[in-house]
Amino acid sequence: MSETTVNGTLSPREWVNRYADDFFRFAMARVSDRIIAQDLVQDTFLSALQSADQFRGHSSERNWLLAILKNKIIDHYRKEGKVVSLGRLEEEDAFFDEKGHWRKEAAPQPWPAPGEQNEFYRILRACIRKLNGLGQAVINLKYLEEKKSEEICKELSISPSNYWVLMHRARLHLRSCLEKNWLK
Amino acid sequence: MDTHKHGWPPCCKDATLLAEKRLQEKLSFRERFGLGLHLLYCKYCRRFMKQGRIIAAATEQLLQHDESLTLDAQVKAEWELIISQKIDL
Ligand SMILES: [Zn+2]
Repeated sequence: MSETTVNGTLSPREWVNRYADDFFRFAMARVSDRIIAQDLVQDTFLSALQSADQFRGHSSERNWLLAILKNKIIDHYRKEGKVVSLGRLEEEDAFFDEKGHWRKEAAPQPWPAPGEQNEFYRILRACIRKLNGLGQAVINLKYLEEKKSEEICKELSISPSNYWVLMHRARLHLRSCLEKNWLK
Repeated sequence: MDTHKHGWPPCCKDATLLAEKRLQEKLSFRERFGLGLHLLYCKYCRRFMKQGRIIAAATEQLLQHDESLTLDAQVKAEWELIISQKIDL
């Protein structure tokens, strides 16, 4: 397969085999939507083909492609207005009253010892999918990619205090979603 | 950012935020002390903290082994086709 080499350094015919799974996982951690993640990876390969003549070999083929994918993801966030929008800042008001005490209907109830594990995981998965885009992004980056909080802030262009607000909110939502759907 | 005053010891809203931080990193002495004090008298936040740990561990388990994070072979085959068509143009 000598014809697979463009510019002597890129091997586009190998891209899918070498990078597609990794890149898809990377995109899924950031957009949490299969179709969007697939489109982003496909777009990455196609734009890379178009600008193959700009590849100078300063970085590895993988890093060069990954940089293109990252830009696509940032563009996607920008289009969705997700970079700046933290959603309603008063969202925690659903859980706490004006004095900051648990609202009666939102106060954590005791959980029984987990019996059916698969059921718990199934509901947790559904609850994660119900989080908004940024909420899913912080959860994915933290638990899927095991990134440190500073790295997540940098990647999502959010301040540390916003990070904690997002994490706190995501945990509140997950907890109450689990309680509502699992304890029935 | 939020409208209520940050009192001492922390209210449930602030205590649960500290509990969230506590799951991920070390708290300052003041934060640790405030959270500890609050947990002494608040069973709801004690539950929140305990359940938060369960959720964190389960989320990690789930996402690390999530099959929905793999691509369909069909999609990959399609991409290979598109790429080879572009190259051959
Ligand atoms: Zn409390």
